[in-house]
Amino acid sequence: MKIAISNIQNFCVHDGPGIRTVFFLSGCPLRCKWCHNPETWESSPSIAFEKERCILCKGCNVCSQGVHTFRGEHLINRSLCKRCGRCIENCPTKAISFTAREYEEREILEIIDKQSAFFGDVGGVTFSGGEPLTQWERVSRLCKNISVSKAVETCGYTGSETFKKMLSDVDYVMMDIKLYDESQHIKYTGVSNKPILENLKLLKESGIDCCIRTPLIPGITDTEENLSGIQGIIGDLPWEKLPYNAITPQKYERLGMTFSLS
Amino acid sequence: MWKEVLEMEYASIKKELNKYYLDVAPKSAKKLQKECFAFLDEAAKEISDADNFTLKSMQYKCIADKIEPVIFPKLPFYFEMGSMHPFCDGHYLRGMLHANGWLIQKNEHIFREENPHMNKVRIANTGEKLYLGDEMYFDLEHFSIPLKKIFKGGLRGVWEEAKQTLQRCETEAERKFVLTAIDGIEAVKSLSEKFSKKAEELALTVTDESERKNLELIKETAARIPWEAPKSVYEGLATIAFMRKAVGSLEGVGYNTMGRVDVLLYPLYEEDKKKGISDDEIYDLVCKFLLIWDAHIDKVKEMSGYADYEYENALTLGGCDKDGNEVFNEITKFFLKAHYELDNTYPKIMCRYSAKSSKEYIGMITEPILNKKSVLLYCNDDKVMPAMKKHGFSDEHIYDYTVSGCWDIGIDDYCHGQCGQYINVLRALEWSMYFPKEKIENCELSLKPLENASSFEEVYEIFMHNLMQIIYKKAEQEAFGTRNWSRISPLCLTSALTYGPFEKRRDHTDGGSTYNWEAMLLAAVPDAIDSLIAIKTLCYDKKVCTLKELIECCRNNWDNEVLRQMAISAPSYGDGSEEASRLIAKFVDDVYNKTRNLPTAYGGSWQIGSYMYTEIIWWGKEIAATPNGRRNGELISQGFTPSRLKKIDSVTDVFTSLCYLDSEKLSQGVVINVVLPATNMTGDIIESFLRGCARSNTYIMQINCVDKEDLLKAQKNPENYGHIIVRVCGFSAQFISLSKEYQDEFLSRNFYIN
Repeated sequence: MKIAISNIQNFCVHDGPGIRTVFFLSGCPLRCKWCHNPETWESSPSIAFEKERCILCKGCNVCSQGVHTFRGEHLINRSLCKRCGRCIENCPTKAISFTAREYEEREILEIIDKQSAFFGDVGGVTFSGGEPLTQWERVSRLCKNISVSKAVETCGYTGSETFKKMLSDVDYVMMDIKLYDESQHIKYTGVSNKPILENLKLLKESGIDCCIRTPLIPGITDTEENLSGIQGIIGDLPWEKLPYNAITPQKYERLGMTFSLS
Repeated sequence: MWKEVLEMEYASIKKELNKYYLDVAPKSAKKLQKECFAFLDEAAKEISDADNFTLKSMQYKCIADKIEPVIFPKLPFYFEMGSMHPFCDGHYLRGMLHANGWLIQKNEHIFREENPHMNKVRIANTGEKLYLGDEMYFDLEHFSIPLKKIFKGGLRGVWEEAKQTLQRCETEAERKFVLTAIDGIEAVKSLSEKFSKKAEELALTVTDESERKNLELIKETAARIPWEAPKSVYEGLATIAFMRKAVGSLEGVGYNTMGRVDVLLYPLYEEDKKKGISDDEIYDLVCKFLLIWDAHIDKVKEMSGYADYEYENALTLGGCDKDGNEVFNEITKFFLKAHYELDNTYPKIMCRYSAKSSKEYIGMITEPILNKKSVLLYCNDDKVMPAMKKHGFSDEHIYDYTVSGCWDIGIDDYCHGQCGQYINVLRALEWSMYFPKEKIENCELSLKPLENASSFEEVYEIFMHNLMQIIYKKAEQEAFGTRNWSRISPLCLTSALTYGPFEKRRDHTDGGSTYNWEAMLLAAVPDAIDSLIAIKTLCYDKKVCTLKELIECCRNNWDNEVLRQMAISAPSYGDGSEEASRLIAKFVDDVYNKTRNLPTAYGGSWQIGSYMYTEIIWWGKEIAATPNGRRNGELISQGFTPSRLKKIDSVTDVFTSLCYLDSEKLSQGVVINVVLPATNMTGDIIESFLRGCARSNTYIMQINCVDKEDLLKAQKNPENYGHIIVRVCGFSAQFISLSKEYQDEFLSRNFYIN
């Protein structure tokens, strides 16, 4: 059983109570236009390239597929990539990397074990993403072997059975409610919010410790109309409004993508 | 309202003391030194065959006779003797010549003349920064005032013990030692009596009622204390302050710890409570006591040199008692609270803690970090005590360890520090690579060149061989120097206060103390380990270059950037890499095993640790490029803090690397620098972090909690950032008072993210 993970970050203090190790799982059904983590969208790995780290040494020319070419600058054709990883191994500055890697359960448990001294009474692990519920069947099995606090950061876009299973597996849920209006939701995230709102009901019914989170995107989610709409549906659940941090387009450029929300 | 009045009073006291220490004390110390030297030189001429015990007795008596007590009537304490430079705690180093340095200066030629050849080699080796060497062979700087005997039976008890010991002396040398100790004790007594008399005189002249009351109190107390054991918190504090200055003025070595004040004072606190003395009164005394030490230094003056603006003065709080129970009492709380409320930087407060420490204690000792004031040091009992046990310290003493100087571990009443003995591990690797034949010959080292090694195993073996040659040389010189110490300047007064010398009828400098250990402090280990891993990765695993090519590239200060980037990208200590973690653990094992049978002067064991003072800058400047990607002259790593070359996001990765170590092999402690982000940091987070560190193999931590952006802004607009106090290298300072070089050192540290 393997879980595709984009990044693992220890000593996190923003992603649930206490000190936590956060697993950023790969794969997300949403395409939020303000997304800070586009590298987590796809569940299969692709090449990320940090131009500012590249010293034009051409070590990546070991690639037999012609992914890397140099015409005054380092150009990448990701469509040719067979994911052999040789260019990554040969890059001295780590300018090239994969956006995800599959981890065995044993590896994940070892990471948690090494960090467990710092979790204290309230800290633990957080499954984030991407959208962790896209891999929940595997994560659910993993959770049975994790003795520390387990939290999840989810957009809630999944089937109700998966959501219920998740609720029974974890101790704390951070759930995004981004936009109240369905058409706006489709416009800015690419999907309807109906499954999310259905799952919100399940969350409320479960009584689990939770926090609703809304990223405040200027002119999109931070409008009075949207916020009062969200307030109406979440009731008295704890609600955290996350201030908007301007995103750097380079994060998209690294993946050969364009940041559309200027 | 009352709080404001007190704050004004404290500010006024601090100002007066600060003015004295900055304007008057240096001149006064110099004047006394000249007077004493002139008198003692003349006196010594008359008894040309006088032995060093006789001379030491003369020194004690002369200094005590010539000291003019300085009393600050706003304070109820008596301590200032106008005998020492304010930044100095009594040692005879770096040009700090005080009256107490007379005998050392007179006799230091013995070091040089006893074995001129060894001395020449020693100067060559220390000059090459292979290891640290001050003017003397041994550490004159990290002494503690042993206070247990005085708190138990007063100086009178020590004096009586000396008289009884005299009866048991079998040789003339033993008799002379004890008689000199008695002269030292009596010199201290005469000094306190001088204060009593001076206070009586001053009391007749002052008009301010509260000042007159203080002077009356001093008059009465100094006539008894410390000859008698203190019976109240006030008398206990008076004893500590007075002894700190008195012994420092007389002896000639640096006394920079005041011990476990909460352990010493708590029984007296209980007595005070029975007498109806209020907590407010006791807290006021603690505040006034703490003001003294913070006022020794001008905290806004730029800190730029080696140790030109730092005051080595420390006390230890917390820890446990002999049954393992936490020490966290009202006195602990008063000291911590007063330190924060007075906005003190000094004295350095060393906080012992463990994974089991109470939430309240952890909360109190982490409070300043959250306010961007890193003024405490954190020392982990869970690792230090088992390591001390493995190194031969007895269970009945280990629980009582203290942290002095910057971070030096010792047991005040049973031994004294030898903590300034740094071994330059990175220099060992650098010389193995570059093999400067002439220098190696001058230093009389039998080193092997690295460049022909055919495997990584051979590289490691050659490096360890060369490092051990340097260590053996240092150990030989150290043992030689220490064996001669008693012929230079015995420390009979200190010996009298320490457990061991009277039982053995031998001075501390002659191996009389209960423990006679030596420290071996390994410097720049992470840089060396990362360099070894880089050699392994590039030359033997990936085979991207030969070792000769790598050395040549380093010799050219990394003229091949691709290779340099590959070196930096190799696994490194602290990045979670198992390979580097295992190598540093093996390195510690090997050094430990190879030093077990190394002799010390008086049979104690070698204690291993890892830290260094501002040598991270000064030694770094002199070390050429190294295989970990470090360029010529760049900074080197502190303790077991990961190298600055690789950005490590998670602070906890460092500690997972440490878990591979056999922590009991490092009894002198290992320093880790940690800079946590200030944003979103809470008391609960810091508490979990500290407890996690206690469970990991951490010993001593300098924790800062500050954002890099704020420090960069502080460089541009210092007037707005005077509130940020950072932990530098065993001391704290306003960030804006550091020179650009020190500021940049801090900014080059790993700022972990969360």
